[in-house]
Amino acid sequence: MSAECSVAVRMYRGLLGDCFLLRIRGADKSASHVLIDCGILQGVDKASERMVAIAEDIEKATGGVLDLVIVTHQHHDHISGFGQARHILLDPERMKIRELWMAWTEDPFDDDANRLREDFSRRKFAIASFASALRASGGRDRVSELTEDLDKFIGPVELGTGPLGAAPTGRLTGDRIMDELKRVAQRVRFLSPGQVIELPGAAPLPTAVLGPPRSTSRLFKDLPSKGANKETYIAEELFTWSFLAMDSGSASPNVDLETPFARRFSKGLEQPGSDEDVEDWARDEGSVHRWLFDHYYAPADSREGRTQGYRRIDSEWTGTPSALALKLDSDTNNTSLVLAMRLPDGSFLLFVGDAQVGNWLSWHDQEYDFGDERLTAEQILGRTRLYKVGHHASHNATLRQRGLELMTHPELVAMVSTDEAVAEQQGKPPGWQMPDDEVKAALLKRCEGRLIRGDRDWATDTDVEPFRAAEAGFQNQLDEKSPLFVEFNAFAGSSPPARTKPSRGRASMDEPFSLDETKRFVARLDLPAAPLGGTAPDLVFDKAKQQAMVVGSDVLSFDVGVEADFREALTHSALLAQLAAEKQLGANPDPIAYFDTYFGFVGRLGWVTQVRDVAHYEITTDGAKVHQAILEVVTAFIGNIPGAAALVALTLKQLQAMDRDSPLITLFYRESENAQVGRFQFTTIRQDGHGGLFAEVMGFALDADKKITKVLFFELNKTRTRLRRALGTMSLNRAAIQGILPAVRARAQAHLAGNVAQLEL
Amino acid sequence: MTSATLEACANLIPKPSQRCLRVYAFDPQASTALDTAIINDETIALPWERDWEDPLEPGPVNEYVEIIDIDPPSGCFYPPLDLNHPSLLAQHGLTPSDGNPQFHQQMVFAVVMKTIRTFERALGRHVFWVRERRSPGGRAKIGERSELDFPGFVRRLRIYPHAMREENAYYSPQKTALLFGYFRGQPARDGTGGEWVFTCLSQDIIAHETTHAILHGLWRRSVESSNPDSLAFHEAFADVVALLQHFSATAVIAHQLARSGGSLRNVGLLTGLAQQFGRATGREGPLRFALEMVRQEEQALKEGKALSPDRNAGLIEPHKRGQILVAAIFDAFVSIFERRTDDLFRMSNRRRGDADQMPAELVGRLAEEAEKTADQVLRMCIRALDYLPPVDATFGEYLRAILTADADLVPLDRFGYRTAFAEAFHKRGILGEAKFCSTDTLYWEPPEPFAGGNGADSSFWNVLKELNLGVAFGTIGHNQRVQEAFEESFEGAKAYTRHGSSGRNLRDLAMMIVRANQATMHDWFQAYSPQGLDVDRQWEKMLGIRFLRDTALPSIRTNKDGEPVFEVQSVRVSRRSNPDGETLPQLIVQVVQTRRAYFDPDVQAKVDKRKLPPDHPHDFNFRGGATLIIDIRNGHVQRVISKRVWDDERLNRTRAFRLGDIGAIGFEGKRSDIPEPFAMLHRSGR
Repeated sequence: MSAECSVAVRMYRGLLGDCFLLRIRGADKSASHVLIDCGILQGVDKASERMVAIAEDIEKATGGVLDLVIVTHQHHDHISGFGQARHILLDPERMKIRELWMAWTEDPFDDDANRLREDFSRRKFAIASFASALRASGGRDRVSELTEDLDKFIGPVELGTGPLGAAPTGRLTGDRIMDELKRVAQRVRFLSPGQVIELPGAAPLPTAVLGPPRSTSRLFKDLPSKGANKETYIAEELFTWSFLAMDSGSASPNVDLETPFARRFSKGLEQPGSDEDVEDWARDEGSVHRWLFDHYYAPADSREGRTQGYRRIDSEWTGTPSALALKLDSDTNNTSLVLAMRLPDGSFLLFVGDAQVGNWLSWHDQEYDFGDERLTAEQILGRTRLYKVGHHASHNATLRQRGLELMTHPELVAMVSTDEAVAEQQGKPPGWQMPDDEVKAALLKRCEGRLIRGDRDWATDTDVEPFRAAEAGFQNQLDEKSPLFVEFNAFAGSSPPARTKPSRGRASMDEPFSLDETKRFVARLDLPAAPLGGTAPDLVFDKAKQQAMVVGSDVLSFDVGVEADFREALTHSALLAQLAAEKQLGANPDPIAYFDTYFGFVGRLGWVTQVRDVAHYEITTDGAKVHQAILEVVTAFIGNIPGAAALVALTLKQLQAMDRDSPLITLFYRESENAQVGRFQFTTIRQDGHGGLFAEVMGFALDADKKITKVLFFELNKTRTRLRRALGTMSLNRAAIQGILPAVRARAQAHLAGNVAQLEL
Repeated sequence: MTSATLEACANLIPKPSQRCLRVYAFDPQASTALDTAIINDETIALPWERDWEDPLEPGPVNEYVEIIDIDPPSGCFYPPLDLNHPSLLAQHGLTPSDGNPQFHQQMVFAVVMKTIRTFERALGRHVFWVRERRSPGGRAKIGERSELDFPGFVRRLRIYPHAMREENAYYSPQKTALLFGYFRGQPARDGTGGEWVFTCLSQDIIAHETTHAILHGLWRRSVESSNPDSLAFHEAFADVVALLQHFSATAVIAHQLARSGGSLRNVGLLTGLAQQFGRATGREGPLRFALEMVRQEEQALKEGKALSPDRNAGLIEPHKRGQILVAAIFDAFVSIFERRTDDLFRMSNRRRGDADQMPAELVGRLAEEAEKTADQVLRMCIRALDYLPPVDATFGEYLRAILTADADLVPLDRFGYRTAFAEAFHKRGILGEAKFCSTDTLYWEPPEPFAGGNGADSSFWNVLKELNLGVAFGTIGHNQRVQEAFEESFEGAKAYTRHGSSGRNLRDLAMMIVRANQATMHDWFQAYSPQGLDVDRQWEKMLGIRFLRDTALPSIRTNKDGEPVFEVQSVRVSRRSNPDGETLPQLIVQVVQTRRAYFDPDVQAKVDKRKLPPDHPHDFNFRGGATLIIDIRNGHVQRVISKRVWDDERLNRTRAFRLGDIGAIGFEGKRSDIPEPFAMLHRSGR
């Protein structure tokens, strides 16, 4: 118990944004690194250069391995760095991300989360594309004030080209960054409040998940509900469409500030240019201009001389986008992942992202089971020794009564990532107050001056002057030498006690993989009866070749370098999962439900789902060309995965070239033919440069108007086909796959005949 | 003998009694669907302007409102409509068209005026507008206040039919203006569609927003949120007015009643109405919610399930919470309607709900009854406003106000209206703190006699004789307060002191008299009573506020002389008639006092025990006060409805409510007063 454990928290400086690097040393002196957020406010000078410099420092400090990346929420000032320094942070050659933690709101399996993200995306997209259209429309006086603030937090939007006259397509850079992170991380965990999990790496500090709340009423008041109201347009969209005009022929929208009525109603009735001109503008007695002057522009009404200037509404309408953007901004802040890491002495490091009031309040909704103790949020706050101040110490992200005032640890330290000067340039004068005076005063008092700011040196910060003498010891814990960061030695003491029992989280995501458990699972799998007779095919797996196996309705392709053992184990696993899913769902299940079940089964066999989604497409071509069309669709789906696309294309080509009567084709045909619904899968298995194994699973469901004659070559006799696709990116647990080979081989053996065939590539 | 001039001959033609204006009964979308198109045209008949009112001018601008059609997002404005143009007089105004902004002006004008007239009829007095301080809740330092920081009467409500491009419409208490937005839906994939939708073309929205403005003018503190019911009440009341006003469109109601076989509980009819009223403007939500609530309750009762009185306690969001009240009032309305029309079904030997071959005469009579009932119910609801405490009212108190106001005016409840209300409210857990079942226990208690046998009446006489209790020449009087009020007043009032009848404006005079009465009343409360200090103490106790320096709590605001500050918010005379033709003239007085309040009870206690200075920065304002109702036929103080400013239990509740409001708990607590309370409420509360 006396072994050493230390935690150093590095806060990168000069950012109006969060980027924290934790170095945790365990008993054996080995260090692990945790990165919490990495971003800077949009539109700040030299943002990219700064973030690249920071990323280089992270690479240097970590030796290219991040044991854990925590992304609190999808705001530009928390994630932009992953985009700006993409070539460092998201390149597996330079930076290995062993594990990624995100809030449950990012979980692709969670219906609530999906609805929430969809809602956010639509709202963000509406506002962001409005802002970009405004910018593109040039500096018209009336709109210039609108562009302020709009997309500061949302981040840029990448406009794509859509069908003529359609809604603008494209996506938010933020969405893309989140997806890419999920893709490169070797393991992704989505966390829900109440969970207690251990930090991966050198010192498994138990970490409680305090937020974001699951309850939408805590998150915000008015998330569109499911069901009947789902179809109603969200305020942001209606607002956007009221200002944007689709110009046929151009893909991006233009700002439209024309009157909605026929021109004759406002002919000659434009508003005066400025208040100086207005008397001249209204000089003609009896004119409509004069009437409007008397009733609106004149400071006092002409009849009784009473003031009326206060009733003007010239700029009332410009408040709309700001109000909507602000609302969206605080809604997003409230989805912040809030973590409390318990140190060996029982004290806590508290990282709150930008959580706002609803999130803070929700921490008290549950208790936290650390195995050896059960704590309330109040107790955790009482033991907090380091508080990462929310939202750059703005007025709305630190709770007073049920928050800061509960933080009573005698050595409480607060870290504020801010750049006051930059904040003051934002918005309308006097700009954003970060830190807010009252929050700052409360923090200084509560921490007795131990307030570390990103934009100041503690040693010279005038605010802490009254406390400095008494806190000499604290100064020794600080390293402020680097212009790039300030580092605070938050803790040094005995190492964590024996591993605590992690609390139960969501199945398959959070439960540690147990080989014995999995073997039992394989042995007990409920499978259909094996066909009688037939000879099992002679399967030869070769690490050096690209290979493809037809397994039931799945075509499993292996890239060069995937070891033979794995090939065999994965082939058997895929077969067993298919059989088990069919057995469970009976004949002719809905294909998407089938894929869900399938993903569930492989998940129990060591395949860890990272990304999953479902999409619908409609293909219209003449029958003969359908296969080509589908090939294109398939290729497009996986086009962004280098290697995988080529592999699928090659596989398809081989299949296509094959004689229609070949037993292989017959097998695939039989498996995938299914009345009016056809279902087939492609799985590619590949290996990254560091030995990480990945699978891309694409399930397709074809709904044609008539019976499908032949799925494999997509010869459909009707021209309209609805194609549904379920996509899963999975990382494969090497130890698990290898460990269960004997078990899956034994169970699959009886089913190989008639279900599996090898395809020469 | 000279021949009369043509002009003089024109004087022989009597003025018309009504001005008819065409509007959409629903909204423009309804005109495109065949089954609603035939009933989508409605004509609103407004009384013609009287001689003592301002004439109707282009805008339209009249005595009460001014429509200024400026469209800032489009950078232009639309010409003011002249409703007196012969072409428009000949055809009841412009034909409904959403593509003509001048028709928008006409429709807004007509519906706003209809709503105003409804209120005036029910209240028995003029509707006035007030202006809120520049930033409610913001603390201007003494000496730095400008004219804009003070509330004041505003002559006309300003209306902007095209104020912004947003799916929103709101009443701005600071501008005393209604702002209507318009917006465009999302275009279809081929680029077509995306029609413009105008909130100023929905009768519901117009009536709703107008009600906010009227309520604010009537009852200033109502825009403050001090308990879960307060903002909800504002919303619900506005919805009730909008809902019940629809029943005056008899053609529409007849059409729907014929379809439902004369039942107002028919789900199809109700949701049909709600949808029509709110479609495309996103406002069908609240009404539908309320009607759905009624339907579910009916269902549960039919199945013998008990309704828990607490089932609505968790509804906090103002729009949703408000719908409890809408549901209760609508339920009461339907019960009364059914009781009034049961005989019609018996006489025609038909069953309610049987829509098969309804005789047109029956439908006509039903529609008539529905209109009449709606009008009566709406009047009951409006009258009750005078019987609410001036601050911090709850739904339960509103029930008591409805019942008491009605009982004072119509002593005999022949048709069981009050019972219907009490039942409908009780069903929804709105109890009005009743300890007994009988309806009369819900009436506000009459004031207790002062100790020593000296009633409030005898001392109140001292001020009653100083007040102007009528709006006519004889009442102008000459005390100093009246002179001051004249100085401040509008021209229309000053004209009453001159020869010649031109320029006289009765509403201006009424406003002047209210001002003078307010000042007189304030003086009287502040002065020591000639009958001794004891009487002052009795008044303090009865009104729940402190006038005396020695009894005042340190946290109550004081003026520079150290005297406790209080406001007399209104002194108004109302004259209402009951169905028997009897007129009930009443004087209604509202007094309010403000106390500095703190989130921390310890700090509160320290301030009140003078352990902290009285100007220690406070967290919120806590208000108390009373509504006094005096029967001016005999000078009897009939009712006193008070909320004591020293009531610490209520202070604790207010504090808890404020703390539960997410604005209050963070560091933003003190800035939580947003400048446009209704703008945000509507923006987020679809």
